[in-house]
Amino acid sequence: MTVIIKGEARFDEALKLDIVKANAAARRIVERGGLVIAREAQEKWRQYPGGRTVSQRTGRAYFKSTPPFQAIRPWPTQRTGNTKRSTKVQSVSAVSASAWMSTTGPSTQYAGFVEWGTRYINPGFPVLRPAVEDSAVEIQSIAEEEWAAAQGE
Amino acid sequence: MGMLPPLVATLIADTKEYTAKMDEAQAKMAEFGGASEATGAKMAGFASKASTAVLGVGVALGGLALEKAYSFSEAMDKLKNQAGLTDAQMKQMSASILATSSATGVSTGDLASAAIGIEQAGIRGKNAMDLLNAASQAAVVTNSSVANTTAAVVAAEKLRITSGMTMANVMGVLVAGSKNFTGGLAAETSMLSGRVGSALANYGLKLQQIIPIGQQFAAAGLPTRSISSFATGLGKINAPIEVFKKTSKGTTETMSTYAVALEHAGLSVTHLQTLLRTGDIPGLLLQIRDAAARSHEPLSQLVNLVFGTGGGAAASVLIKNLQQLTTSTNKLKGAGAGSLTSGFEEAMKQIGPQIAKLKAQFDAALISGGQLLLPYFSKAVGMLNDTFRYFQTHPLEFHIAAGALGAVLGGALLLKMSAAGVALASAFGIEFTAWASVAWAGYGALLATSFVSTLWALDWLKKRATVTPSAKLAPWLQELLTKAGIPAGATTSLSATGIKYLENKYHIYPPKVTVVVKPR
Repeated sequence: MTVIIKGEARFDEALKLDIVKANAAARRIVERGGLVIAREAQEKWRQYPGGRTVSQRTGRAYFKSTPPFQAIRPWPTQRTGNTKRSTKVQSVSAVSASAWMSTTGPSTQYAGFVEWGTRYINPGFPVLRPAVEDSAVEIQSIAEEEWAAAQGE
Repeated sequence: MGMLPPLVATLIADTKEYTAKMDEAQAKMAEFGGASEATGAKMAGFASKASTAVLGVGVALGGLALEKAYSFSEAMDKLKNQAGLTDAQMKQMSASILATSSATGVSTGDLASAAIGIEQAGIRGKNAMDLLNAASQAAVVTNSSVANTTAAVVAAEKLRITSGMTMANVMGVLVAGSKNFTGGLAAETSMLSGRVGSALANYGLKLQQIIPIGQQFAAAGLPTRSISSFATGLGKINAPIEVFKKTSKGTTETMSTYAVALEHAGLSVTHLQTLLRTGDIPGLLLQIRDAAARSHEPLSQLVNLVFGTGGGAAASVLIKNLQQLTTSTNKLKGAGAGSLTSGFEEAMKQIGPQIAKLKAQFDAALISGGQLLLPYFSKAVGMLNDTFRYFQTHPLEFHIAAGALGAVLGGALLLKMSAAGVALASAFGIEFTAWASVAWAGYGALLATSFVSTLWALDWLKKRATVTPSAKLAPWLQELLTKAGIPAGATTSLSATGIKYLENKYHIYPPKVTVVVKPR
């Protein structure tokens, strides 16, 4: 078989570019996936029972119902809202030449007690694990979308 | 309160599988590039044994010859300007470089650069050409650059430790010495051109004596200051033994304190001086070791007495490795032009240097041929310059003539060069036939480009001669072309078909996404 082939250099460049594009797609996937997990986790929290009002004059929050708020399983109930608000994409970093990693979660120190439970809170109120399960389909579609975009660029 | 570690969901997207496939494809491309390069080298072989069938290729290589000749001419101009050579010297040096390149496989560009260094070091005429030849042979033996081997000889010459030796002898000793030198020829050169070399040379040691000492120092990694002190110690041995003192009764002669101390320690200063003057450093050190053994004094004490506390450490290293020092010194006594030539002949039996030689011969042939074309080319360039100058002052005519101009000038240049192509073919020892000029015009442009041309040329050769081209398409490339539906004999762009093929093949590997929830 004899075929005249042209464009060796361009082909080689394109291969390199493909690797770069795949790498960029992996980064976008973990970034966007992390945002989905954070959103799903925030949505799991139950609002303050009875709501609250914030004083126009002092800025202080007043709760209409009286604590302690009774837990209604399976979701935890907000007290200050700090854990819910702090649930974000904490970091996005390259873990190898071909892989990217994002970490998503709350930054409050006691978040683990809520998620996993303690001897007083038994069982716990898992938020992040159900959020991840609920995000799986959306993350997969993000992965496919980003991958198709990288291949088509 | 004991706290749990922060709670996180870790999301990982890994494209390893896909990247690995892309890397694999890249490696295959590199492999294919290598195969086509090897084919190019084989073509060089064909050119040197040209038959009528190769004529078209030989003539078509004119474009390449022109480029090679131009580069060579540029390098020689640089040599002329930097070294201040006359035209006659230039002609001689140019012929010498081409001959050396053909014989050793070192490229003409490298030789021209090395020649500049040689001339600038004040080595001229026959010596310069001999050095270039010896340095090229040494470069093949030591697998280093000719610039490095030349620098080694220049360093030795500057120390004036090579009196009575030819350039080939000096190079032979340096190459033999580099074999046991930690760091090889580069380290040996560095030792000679540094303070160690000059310190040892100052006390009259020759090249064959300095190198074994340098080998031991390099292996032990001694600081330069310690070695310099050792050299100063050698100077102390060489100092006069007698001290003259003027008294009221006249002049009295006594032994120096240093000599008295050595005699007390059981060492004969006059004997040490004789050994030093003949360059027998191993013998000198042996005397010290034996004296220490006889007197039951610690060796370090005696060594410090002879060489001073600064040089004692270096001398101790040499005494500890006295056997190696003696062996190396004896080996170097027999080294010279003969050992260099035999080493070179041995190295040339290997495939790498043989291919390099073949390439260099081919390049030298191209340069010789290309030099025939250069005058036509420069004439054509002059003509173009005049024409452009005219059109710069007459822009309207430029617009009118622009379309036709390129074709006319190109045709004129081609015509001139076709005639020269015949002469070039003769330079390859090729029999000229009527279609050579057609081949020149038609195939020249194609053959000037990368591996595509090489494959094409081999196919062309296959059809016209009983030559079986060794370059076959790699199986993966064949598979690619078959899947892409490229028929035999077609021209295709790898960049388009290759990528389409790979995308079809590898799009099934999107990044693997994993999610883990755990306390960090």
